[in-house]
This record gives sequence, C-alpha cells and structure tokens, in this order.
Amino acid sequence: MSTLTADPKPQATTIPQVSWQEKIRRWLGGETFTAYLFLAIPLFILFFIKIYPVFYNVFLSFTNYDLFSPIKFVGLKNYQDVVSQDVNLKAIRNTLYFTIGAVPLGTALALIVAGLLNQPIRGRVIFRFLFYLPVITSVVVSAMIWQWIYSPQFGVLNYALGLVGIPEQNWLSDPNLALPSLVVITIWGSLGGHMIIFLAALQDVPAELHEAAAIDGAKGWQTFLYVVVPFLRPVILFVVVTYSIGIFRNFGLIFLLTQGGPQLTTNTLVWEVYQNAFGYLRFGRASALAMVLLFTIFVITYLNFRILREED
Amino acid sequence: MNSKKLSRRDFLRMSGVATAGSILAACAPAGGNSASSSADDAPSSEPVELSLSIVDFVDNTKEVLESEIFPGYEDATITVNYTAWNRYNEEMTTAFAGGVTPDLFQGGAVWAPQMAKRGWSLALDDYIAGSGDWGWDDWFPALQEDATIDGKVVAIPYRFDIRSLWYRTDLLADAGFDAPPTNWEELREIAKATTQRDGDKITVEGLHYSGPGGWQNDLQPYMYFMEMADGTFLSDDLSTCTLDSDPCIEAMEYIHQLIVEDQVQPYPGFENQGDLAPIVAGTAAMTFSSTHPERIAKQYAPDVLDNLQVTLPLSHHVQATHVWINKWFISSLSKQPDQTWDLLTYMTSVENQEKYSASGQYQPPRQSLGDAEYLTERAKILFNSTNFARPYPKHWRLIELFRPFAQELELCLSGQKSPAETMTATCEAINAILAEDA
Repeated sequence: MSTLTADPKPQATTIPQVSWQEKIRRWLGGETFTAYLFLAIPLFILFFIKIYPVFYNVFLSFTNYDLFSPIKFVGLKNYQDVVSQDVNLKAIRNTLYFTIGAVPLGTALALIVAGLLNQPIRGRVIFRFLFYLPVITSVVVSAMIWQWIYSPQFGVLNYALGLVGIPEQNWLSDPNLALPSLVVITIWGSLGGHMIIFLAALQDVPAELHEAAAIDGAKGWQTFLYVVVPFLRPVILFVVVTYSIGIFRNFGLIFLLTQGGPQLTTNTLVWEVYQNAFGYLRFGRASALAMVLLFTIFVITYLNFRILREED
Repeated sequence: MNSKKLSRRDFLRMSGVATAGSILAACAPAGGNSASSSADDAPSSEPVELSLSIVDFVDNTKEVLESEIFPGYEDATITVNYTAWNRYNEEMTTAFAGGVTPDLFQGGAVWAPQMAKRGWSLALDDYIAGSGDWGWDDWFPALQEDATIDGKVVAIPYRFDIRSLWYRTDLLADAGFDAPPTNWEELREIAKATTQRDGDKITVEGLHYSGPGGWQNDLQPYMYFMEMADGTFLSDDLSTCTLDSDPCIEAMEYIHQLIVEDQVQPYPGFENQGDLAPIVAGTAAMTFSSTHPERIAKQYAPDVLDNLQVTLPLSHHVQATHVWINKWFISSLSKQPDQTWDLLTYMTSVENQEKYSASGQYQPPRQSLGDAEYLTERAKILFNSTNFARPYPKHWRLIELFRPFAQELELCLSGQKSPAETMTATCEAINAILAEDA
C-alpha cells in the first residue's frame, strides 16, 4: 500500500525585505529618475509658455479682462460679438481667402520649381539659392522691398505694366488688389522653404518608378504628374498643413504694409486679435477671436488630412 | 584622501538639478525692485536711479539729451529706453501689466484719457501747485486743457504738432494766384485751378488731402475741416457721437466735393517720394501739415524752400485747426514720484525745453518760447496757429472709436457712400461702442 503523502511544500523563495527609503534611494539613483528630471525641464517650460497660456486664453475668452479692471465673467458675450460684428466676420473671411489664395498656388509652384531644379540643369545650385533667399530675408526687409515694387507712382511693377499700356494700379490701396498683392508676397517669401522640402522628397523617389513610367511610354510631365506627385502625397500634406497654419498666423506683412486696410480687405483674424488686445485692451474679445482662430486652424488641418492623406 | 570620480550620469543629474533650480529661481517673484527699495531706504545723499522711456526723438535729440540736458541733472542716475511709436503701445501695456514701468514716459496725443482711466499716470496738481517759478501758466491754455482729465492734470505737454495750410507759391502763381486761400471757397477755387492733368491722369494735386498707407490718413485731415465747420466728434459729456450733426456733415460734403467731384487729388493721393512729401516734391500745390515740409525741404531739397510757405488756419464758420499734443507722464507705479517730478520740471524748464524742442525742430509748448531763435518764420506762423487749436475729444477709447470712422471715410472718399450716409453709419458704429462701456 502506498502511502500517499502530501507534496512537500514548495521551497519558499526568500525575498529580501527592502525598506521604502532604500526603494526611493534606488529610484533616485536610477536612469528613470534621470530621464524624468531631464524631461521635467522642457515640460516645465512647455507648460508655462505653451499649455498654461492656452487654457488661460480659454478662461479669458469668457471675461471682459482689460488689464486694469477686475476680471468679470461675461459668459458667451465675446463669442457673440465675434460672430455678430461685421468686422470680425470680415476678418474670418479674409483669413480664409488668404489661405485659399496662397496655399494651393504656393504649394503647386514650390513643387514645380522643385521638379525643375531636380533636373541636371546648369547653375541649379545658384537657382536653388536664389529661390531660397527670400526665406532667410527678414519680413521687415521683404515688406520694404515689396512696398517699393508696389509703389503706385514709382514702383517697378507699374512701370513694367506701363510699358505694355496697362495703367497704374494702387496695389496695396485698392480694396480689390490689396489681399491678392499680399498673397503674392507670401508665396514669394515661402516658395524657397517648401521647394527645399520637395527637393528632399524628390530625391527619395525610386529610379525604378521613372524607368517603369518611361517603359510605359509616359512623357516627362506625365511621369511627374501621375507618378511623382502621388508618391509625394505625404510630403504635400505636410507642406499644405504647415503652410496653412503659417498663413493663419501671418502678422508681419499686414502690420507693415496694410494694417488691415483698405476697407478692411486685409483685416485677418490675427490682426484683429492684435487690434483688440493691444489697440483697445479688450483682452476678452481678443481671446475669443484667438479661440476662433485655433478652431479654424483645426478645421482646415482636418480637411487637409481628409483630402490629402494616403488611402489605406 | 578618498577621491570619488564623478560619473557622467551624476554630472548630468547635477546639471539637471542646477538648471531646474535656476529656472525656479528666475520664475520666483522678485523680492522688490532692488534699485528702488534701496533708494527708498538710502540716505538722501545717495544718487537715485530714474528710468525714462523716450519715443519722440531724432538723432540730434538723443545727442542733446545725453550731452547737454541729462548731465546737468545730478540728483539721479538716469537710464533711458529709446523706443519707437510702432511698438510703444505694446511696450507700455506690457510694462504696466508686469508692474515694471519707467518712472517717466512720453505719450501720444490720445494717451492722456487712457492713462487716467487706467490709473497709470500720476495726478500732478499738487506738484504743480508747489512748483514755484517753474511756470505751468506758460503752457498754452489749449495744451493745459488737453492734459487735464476729470479736473486733474495727468501729464505735461512737451511738444505739439499743429497743422495748417502749406502752399507752393510757384504753383499758385502759375495758376494766377498770388495769395493763399483764407476760407473754404477760396481753397476750393485755388485747388481746382492748381490741379494739373495729363489727359485723365493727375500730375499735380491741387490739394493733397491724404496719401496711401496708414489707416488714419483720411481721418486726421477731416479733423481740420470739422473744426473749421465748428463741429465736434463727440458730445460734451463724451457719451454720444456727433459726427452726424450738420457741421460735421457739411465738412464731409466739402471734402467729398474736393476729392470725388472736383478730383483735386486722386484717391488715395500721391505717396511720398522717399522722404519727400508731395508738396516738397512739387506734385502738390497745397496740403495741411506741421513743420514737417520745411524740415524735409531743408534736409533734402533746399532749393524748394523759397517756394514753400505756410499760412494761418483757414476759416469757415470759425478759424480753427487741429493740434496733436504729446506729453510726459509720471508712472503711478514709480517708486520715486517726487524725484521724478523734480526731473520732469528740470527737463521742461524754459532752458531745457528749448534745447529739446530745437533738437528736433519741434513746436515748444511754452508760450514764452515763441521767440526762440531756432523757430523759423514758417514755424512761428504755426506756433501762432496754436491760438486757434482744438485737440481731440478726451475719450479713453478714442482709437477704437476712430476705426469705424476711418473705414466709412474710405468708402465716402472712394465714392461708394454719400457724406450723410457715411456720417450716419459712423455714428451708429461709434454709439454701439460707447453703449458697451455705458
């Protein structure tokens, strides 16, 4: 008869007891703490310079804050002002026109220029440099140059148009021309930067794609349009999104050249924010306008993603 | 000796802690303005530090201030922030928001009501009462009045910019006139006669009313005409827009006639040729301006000076013109207001005011400087125009109130709205802003 005996108890593993002080000491001495410590510095800066102001701006948008009176909660009044006052609606409209005017054309031009300068042509380094030059030019200098180019009486543009019989135009003072004139300057100023991004992407296009297209009988422009451009879709999305955000934030040119005029045709959201905040000390309304600006950027970015992102 | 090697990780950790500590220290609230607090506690023999913000200067002014005026003031160490008008409002706003302001600062024509409303400027009545022979009575009454808000003097004017009619004797003579206009009828007649055209294109403006660019370009000259018509921008109690009153509409109709009907200038008018205003460049026969044309002509086109003249303000219902008055303010946050006032009286004493005004060929605010050597005959005519001067209404939201008016003026002068419609729409917009504050 066998005797059933209980299995011997498994040998208990002895875990050395570690005091909490020791745990903390180890944690403080470990890499994790070092990582947190280093992360803490940028996070601290990020929080106080970027995140906190955004939330404070949301709070201010519901107040009548003007720097010197006690803050008073006004509910949705600032937002009502934004959507009911003609000047604000014009600002929203102008901002959208500005974006729609500059982004598609500017992106297409940058892509075409990048495509051309990706070819083995003579002096392409010089051309790349010349196209890139406006990007490294200060906005103040750019504005002064274009002020002279657009000068109605002494500008080179009117002079050139005069040679072919076109009368003088008030480029920055005519309500129909002021915004398109700013669009041209914006495209000129940003073309080089986007061109560089596209150039880098073009150099990643596999040579096999070009060869396959050539075998299929595609001409140069067909290869570019139907092979290269779809390949660059993620890069185009990146350029379009960052370009749109850049234009929404465009302040320098308007400040230096038109100050929102003539007849409010260049009055954009960011200019209106500035006017309300520093011109009138209406920080509550300026904050509401800034929230509208933020929301509009979200919408435009979302639309760009929907339209341009790669199909699964 | 037991030496321990510092590991890379320890070094990084210590650096991180030090950096975080520095940031925290930098972000901590200051224990008070050390310069100021030490000045408060210091024996009176120790020099005090005073800070100034100066925005109205040319290179010569800076030189005069630093080599002639400041060295003569030994009771304080003076530090100056020379700045520019296009960023000044933001600078001062953020300075007050941050609680760190200059003791003494300059401000523009519309600043006094804002400063008083915000409580940013110190009331100066008690100082003035005890200022002995410094001479507040020497300031033009219109300038004193402009610096007085709700019965309290909140600033001391240091410069004024009065505009009157400048004309080119050669261009008037070419059109058969040997004297400048004195009223609206004559102005219109001469403006029409002196306008020169090449086909449809205007080559010489009979009257340069406004040029392209700044949003106040149309609004500022309207003020002269409104004041000549004896109109006002706001009601006396500042609660209602009065631009839709008969005198104001009459002024607008007159300007509309000149620009839209008679086309004595294109709209917008000619731009400057570099620094040369159209009247100096010879592309305008008349314009309203301060001493600017003479200053520029002296510098860049001295041969034009013989043909460049200015006249006393024109008349319509009254003889009047507009004056822009720039002022010194003592910050309400100054830790040393008494010393700042002392410096202000020193800087605006007859002798130093003359030096400052002469440095930039500015109009001096003191009546006793009317005979100052630096004032030319033309500048003296402008100086005497001060007797007909009317300043801006003293509403603290004036810049915001100007904006709808400027927009409507553009529509009117480009022929898209009638003067009456313009003024009605303007008043609706302005009254809506005024109602918000009410």
